[in-house]
Amino acid sequence: MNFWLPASTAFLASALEAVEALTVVLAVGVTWGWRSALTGAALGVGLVALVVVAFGPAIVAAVPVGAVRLIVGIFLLLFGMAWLRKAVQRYGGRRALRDESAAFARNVASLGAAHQAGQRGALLTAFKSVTLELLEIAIVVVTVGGSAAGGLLPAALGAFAAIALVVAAGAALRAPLARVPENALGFAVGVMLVSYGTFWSGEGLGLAWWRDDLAIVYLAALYALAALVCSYALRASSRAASASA
Amino acid sequence: MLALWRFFAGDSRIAPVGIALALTLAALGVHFGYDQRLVAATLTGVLVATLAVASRE
Repeated sequence: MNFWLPASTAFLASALEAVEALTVVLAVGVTWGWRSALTGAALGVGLVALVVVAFGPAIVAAVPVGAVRLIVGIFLLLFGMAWLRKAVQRYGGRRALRDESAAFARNVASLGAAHQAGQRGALLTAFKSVTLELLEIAIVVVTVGGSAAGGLLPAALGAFAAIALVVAAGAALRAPLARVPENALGFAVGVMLVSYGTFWSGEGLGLAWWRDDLAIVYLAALYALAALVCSYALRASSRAASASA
Repeated sequence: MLALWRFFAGDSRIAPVGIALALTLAALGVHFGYDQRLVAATLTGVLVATLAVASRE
């Protein structure tokens, strides 16, 4: 449990973010050439690695354990609630479902139209996208793994595995990974992040969870059920609103 | 600052308020020595309610 839960949470979250970054890098590569795309991506990776190595362990080491758990829990709740809310809205019909093919087409169109931006603009686009997505991955790894009994290693391994898988698939296919079940992944990741956030913030406040080891499991089951009910209720109210219109 | 906030919290106004309320109630419950199961249920319940309301935003 100490290995697989953080590893699988980090894997799923990282896979989702990596797919989004890949879509933009592919769009840049197809429109402006692979040199801009890969250079921008490499710069993004370098910057995030520097930030993580420089600040990650220092922050965790400098703050008392209880405070770290509370801060980590708050970050996870904010992040997770944003993801879960969007997933509920997508399944409830209030927000468009993720579609990497459409996102790819949009990116290609806007990059193709931005003639003045040139190679530098294309490189910056790839750099920005990779940096932002990798920062999100780093935050998930540090928060999910940082306060866990197993440490950062399971979450880091999960993240690396996901990124390697997505990069390999992208290099092989040279096309957006449209078949990845992103909406389901977003739902699962949102549930896990909110569950971790609830657990760690509670521990940070001095709360002792019932059946400590299993707490994240039953919290995840509760949030998954709640999110499904919310999605169903949203969909029902959308149908009722369009029927009466 | 707004961009940084949006990066972490997304575009919901209700979610951060609900999270703050949940944590405040939990902190008060722990501080005043209420039953741990009640505090845990309150924390989780307010977060579930936050999700329900924020998803309709």
